[in-house]
Parts: sequence; structure tokens; C-alpha cells
Amino acid sequence: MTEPITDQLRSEIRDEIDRILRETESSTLSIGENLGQIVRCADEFVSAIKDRMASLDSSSGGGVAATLDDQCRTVDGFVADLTSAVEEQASVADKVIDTSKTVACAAQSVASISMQSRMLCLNTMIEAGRLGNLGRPFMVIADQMRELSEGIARSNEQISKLAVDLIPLLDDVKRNIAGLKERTDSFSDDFEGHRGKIQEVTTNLQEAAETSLTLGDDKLASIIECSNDALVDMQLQDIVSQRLRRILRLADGEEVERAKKLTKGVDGSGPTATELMQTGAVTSGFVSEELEESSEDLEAGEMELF
Amino acid sequence: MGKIIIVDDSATMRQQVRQALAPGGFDIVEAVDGQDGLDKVSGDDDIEVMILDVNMPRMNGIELVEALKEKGRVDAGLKVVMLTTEGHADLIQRAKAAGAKGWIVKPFKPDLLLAAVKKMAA
Repeated sequence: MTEPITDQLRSEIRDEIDRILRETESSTLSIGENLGQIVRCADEFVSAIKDRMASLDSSSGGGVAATLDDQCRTVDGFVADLTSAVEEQASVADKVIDTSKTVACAAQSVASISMQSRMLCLNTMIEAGRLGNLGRPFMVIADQMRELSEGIARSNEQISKLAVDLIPLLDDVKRNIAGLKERTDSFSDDFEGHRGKIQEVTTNLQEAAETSLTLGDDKLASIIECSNDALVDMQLQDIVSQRLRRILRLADGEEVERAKKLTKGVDGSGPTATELMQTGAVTSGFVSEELEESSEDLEAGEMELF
Repeated sequence: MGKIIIVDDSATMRQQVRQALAPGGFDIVEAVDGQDGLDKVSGDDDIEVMILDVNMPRMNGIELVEALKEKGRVDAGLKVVMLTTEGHADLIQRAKAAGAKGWIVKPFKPDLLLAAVKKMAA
């Protein structure tokens, strides 16, 4: 024969159930906090990624792609200026060469004139010698003119030599300028290839940014959905806990004592606990207990706005 | 955004409702049962929306919304949404007659609750 449950045993059972419920509720609260924190962190992470990806967008000032485009345009401008300057210098070199050649020709003419002048002076000196004393002043003048003519010839020879020496130097300059132009053109061609690669990298960066944004949004949506599902499960667990609590209150006699106090007569007498339960003065706290089910009842998770 | 009071004897449920409404930027207060809810709403005219459980000690949710109607708060603009495990049609009608604006049966989906409350608070 089974021994009846004593009041002490009943109290111990009640206390243990109460302890388990409190621990369960505490754990549930903690899980709820952590879930909320997970969703907040995920949201902040996705927002941070979006901000970083925005810096790669070529349409925004300061973005990586925009910066690369600007640098390419700067290089293009520099190469164009350099090419123009090289061509201008080549033109100047040509003009200097032409001028040098003109100077050389002019020097030859001066040399010829100087030679003729010296011959004239010699002849004058000879004729002046024949005149004797009368010719002496002419001889002096002719001699001075001969010296002048020789001086001119020496200067002209230097000028001619300089002009001739200048021409090969200018040819070297012209060759160097041509070489510089060739290297500039080659750089320009190479840079065109690099520009293509830079644009390809930029396009890849943008595509990676868009993919990351889409993935981030998808993952955030998944996290929120999973979190909501977990929250619904926690609600179900809490509903069970609350029902257990109400049953404990009923078994504990709290509601009975409350009802007794309300129905106690002036002389202290009143209905018994059993009578109170039978009359419905004591309930487990579920308002709908006495109601019959109806097809118009709402099911779990349903909502109606009036 | 408006001020909202959550009335439920379950701390877990109050936490979940608060988290569900957090994206709405609402100012949220809590009450632990019907009597606590009545006291807080009576003392604060800024509360615009009440999220209210039904099965609570001291005063259940139906009794609370009927008491608030009697005090004139419902007619003054307080919007009451019942959030409860109950779904009985008679209870829903009783709450509706007392001025409640909505009824949601637990467990609720956070995004649906937020949408409903935003509609109430608009």
C-alpha cells in the first residue's frame, strides 16, 4: 500500500519544482539576451562591410576605383605634355642645325672675301712701293688693311670651326630627342596595356563589393530568421513554465486561501476548500477554462486586428 | 516614437516583446501583472499603446482593459493589443467590446508584432 504524501514531502516537491522553474526562466532570459546581441552584432557587421565596400565604388569621390581613374588620367596628361615638349625640342634642334649650316656658309663667304681683301692689300703694297715715298702712306694703310683682313680671316675661321663642330653635336641632340620620343611612345603603349589591367582590377573589386553586400544581406536575413525561430521556441518553453507555475499555485493553496478570505463570514466561518473549488471561486488562473471551444477561436501564432 | 507598456507576469515574455519592438525606437515600460499595469497607466498619460497578457495574477488582462475603459483611458486614445496564449472567440469579443484593438495568440513572430504595434502607434 502506497504511503500518502505528507505535507513536508509536498512542500519539498513544490520547492524543487519552483527552483527548477526559476533556473529555467533565468536560462531562457539569458538565451534571449544573447540572441538579441547576436542579431545586433550581425547587423553592425553588415553595416560596417557596406561602409567599407562603398569606398571601392568608382562613382563616389575618394573611392579606390575613382582614385585609379584619376591617376590614369594624370599619367595620360603627363605623357601627352612630355610628347609635345619632345616634339617641340626636336623642332628647335632642327632650326639650330639649319642656322649653324647658314653660319658655316656665311663663314665661307667671309673667308673668300677676306682672301680677296688680303690679295688686294698685297697688290696695293706692291704698287705703293713702286711710287716710292709718295706711295709710303698707301703702303702703311694697305699693311694695316692686310692685318685687319688677316684678323677677320682668323675670327671667321673660328666661327666656321664652331659652326661645323656644332652640327654633329646638334645631330646628337636630335638623335637623343628622337630616342626620348620613342621611349615616350613605348611607355604610352605599355601604359595602355596597364590601364586595361587596372580597369579589370577595378571591375573585379566592384563585383566583389556587390557580391559581398548581397551575401551580407542574405546572411543577416538568415540570422534574423533563425533568431526569430529560436525566440518562438523560447516562448513555447516559457508558456509551459507559466502553466506549471499556475498549477503550483493551485496545488499550493494560494488561490484557496485568497478565496477563503474573500468569502469568510463575520463569525469567521466560510466554505471549505473543496466547496470553493466546486463553485469555481478558485481557478488555476486560466480565464478560458470554463468556456467551450469554438470554430472562431484563434490558433497559436494567429493575429486579429479590430 | 510613442510610449508603450508591456503587461505580462513572465519576465521572458516581457524581454521578447521588448526585443521585438526595439527596431521601432519606442520608449518601453513594463508591468508585472494586471494591477501593476493599471497603476502605471493611470499614472502616465504618455503611454499610447499597451501590450497585454490575459492570464495574470491579481488582475487578469480582460479585467484590466475593462477597468481602463471604465476610467476613460481607452476612449482617450490608449490602444490595447492582447498578447496571450488564449484564443477563445468569446474572450476576444469581450476584449473588443472593452475597446481592445487587436488580439495576438502566443507564440508570436517578432516582425508581425512590430508591424501591428507600428500600425497602432501611427
